[in-house]
Amino acid sequence: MIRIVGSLLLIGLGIAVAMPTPASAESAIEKFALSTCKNEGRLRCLKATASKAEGGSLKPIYVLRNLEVTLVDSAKSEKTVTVSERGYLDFETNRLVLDTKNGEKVFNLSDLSVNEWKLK
Amino acid sequence: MKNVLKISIALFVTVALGACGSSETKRAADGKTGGGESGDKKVISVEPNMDAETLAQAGEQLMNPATFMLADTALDMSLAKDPENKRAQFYKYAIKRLMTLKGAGTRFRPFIAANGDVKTYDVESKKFPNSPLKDFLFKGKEDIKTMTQVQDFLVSYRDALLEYHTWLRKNQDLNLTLNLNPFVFQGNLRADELNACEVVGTSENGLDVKCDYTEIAQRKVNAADMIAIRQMVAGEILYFTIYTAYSAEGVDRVVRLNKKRNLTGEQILDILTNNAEFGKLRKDNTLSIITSLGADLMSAWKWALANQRALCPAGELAGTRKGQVFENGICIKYDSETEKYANLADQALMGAITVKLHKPGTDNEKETRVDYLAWARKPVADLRDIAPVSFNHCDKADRIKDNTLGGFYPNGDAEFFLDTKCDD
Repeated sequence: MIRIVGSLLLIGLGIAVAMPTPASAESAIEKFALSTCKNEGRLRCLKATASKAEGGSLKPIYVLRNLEVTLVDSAKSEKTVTVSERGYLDFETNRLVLDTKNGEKVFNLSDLSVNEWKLK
Repeated sequence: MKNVLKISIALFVTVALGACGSSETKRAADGKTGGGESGDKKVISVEPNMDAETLAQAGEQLMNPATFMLADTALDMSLAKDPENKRAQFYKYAIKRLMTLKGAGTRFRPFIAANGDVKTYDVESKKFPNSPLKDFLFKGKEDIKTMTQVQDFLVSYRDALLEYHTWLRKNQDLNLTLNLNPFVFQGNLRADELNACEVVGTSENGLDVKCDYTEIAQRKVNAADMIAIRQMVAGEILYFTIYTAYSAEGVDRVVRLNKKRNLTGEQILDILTNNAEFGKLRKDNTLSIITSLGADLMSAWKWALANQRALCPAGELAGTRKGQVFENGICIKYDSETEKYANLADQALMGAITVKLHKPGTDNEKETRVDYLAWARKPVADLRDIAPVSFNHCDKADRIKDNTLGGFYPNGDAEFFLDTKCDD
């Protein structure tokens, strides 16, 4: 029991007092752009632009402001554009997540699949 | 509540941050990067006439494993003066779940006396160094006697996590500069001493190094860090949601009877299913919350798997045998198949997907549909409904009541994926 309580304390405090790098080590990029394509039978490309990208130090995550994500599917001649004031790029899970009116829209950068989470 | 706290932390540090808060140029040819004096003492005052921010900062200085419960008092005092103080909120929500551990050392004693080695437990408890942490963990009533009460305890921990996650979402754009207690975080700060220096020139005797320690004891939490913290908290939520979804009443009896690990899977199942309460979906379950974690869920899943071993040491609860239904108690079984689950995509968490899976222990592969979060969307009301109905000669379940396993395998082919291979 003591071991479990000890684990809870260590994990809980590990998160509570997470150790970002010193305050001076901030990383921010103005006018951020990212593009990637997949060709698995049909060519699909994603292009994302943002007015600013701000990196954290706990995980490889960048918060993006004023985003525009364009997804082009050459086979279907489709082009979908999603805009959002805020989102983030998560290199740990290789996803681009946009805040939407009802929740979150997730672009998987590995296979360019798109999913939407509706949040209560 | 105490409204005045004076806490002295006398830590005999070998390297204090002598240059902390200053900028200097020094010669680094001898390899030294600075030093300090031993026997430093830090006094943290918490007084009612302080303003909200000063109280929050005092609480911040008390944030460490030995004194977080004292920080909680300072943070309460800060929030009473200014409920919107973000520094106080940040720490208050962060340690809320830890505060649910109050008295745990004593509260669990009757449960341990009934199911474990209470003599050893008492000896170990007495060895615990006298400290605010000891008072916090061991001052309480001996009131946890049953598995249901153990789970109730975990529910309060889980609910504090949910509050924290909600707060992190609401404050996702928070920017906060944290001031670390240099006595507590000396290791981290020492490591960062080198990062605070740059070579500005060379000379005959060595290098000229400029060190700026102005911000060395500060940490900045920005919006990206808030997401990272939120993902980790979501991992904890996922873990404790699983622990608290179904009644574990009866597992304690299995522990008692199976100390020599001689019960078969069938016998264990009999003991459990003959307990009227075991396996019933708890009214306060939060399975439906899992899907509302949104994009955090994938990171949460990875976190829960990564921390599985720390949170659930082998044999801690049921102590059953390898390969059986409740291997390592009620923990998630971690194997190569579980490793595959760690690579799930959002798509797989949103509904049933088509995948190719191996029958465990064989080269047989089969395409099927799997709905990983079927139980989050529509929980099984009673685990008896999906329990094994028979076991093979090497005590592995070979038939189950519900071949969809509560909707996990929508095609109804769950039995195909049971591990039925015997070593003989």
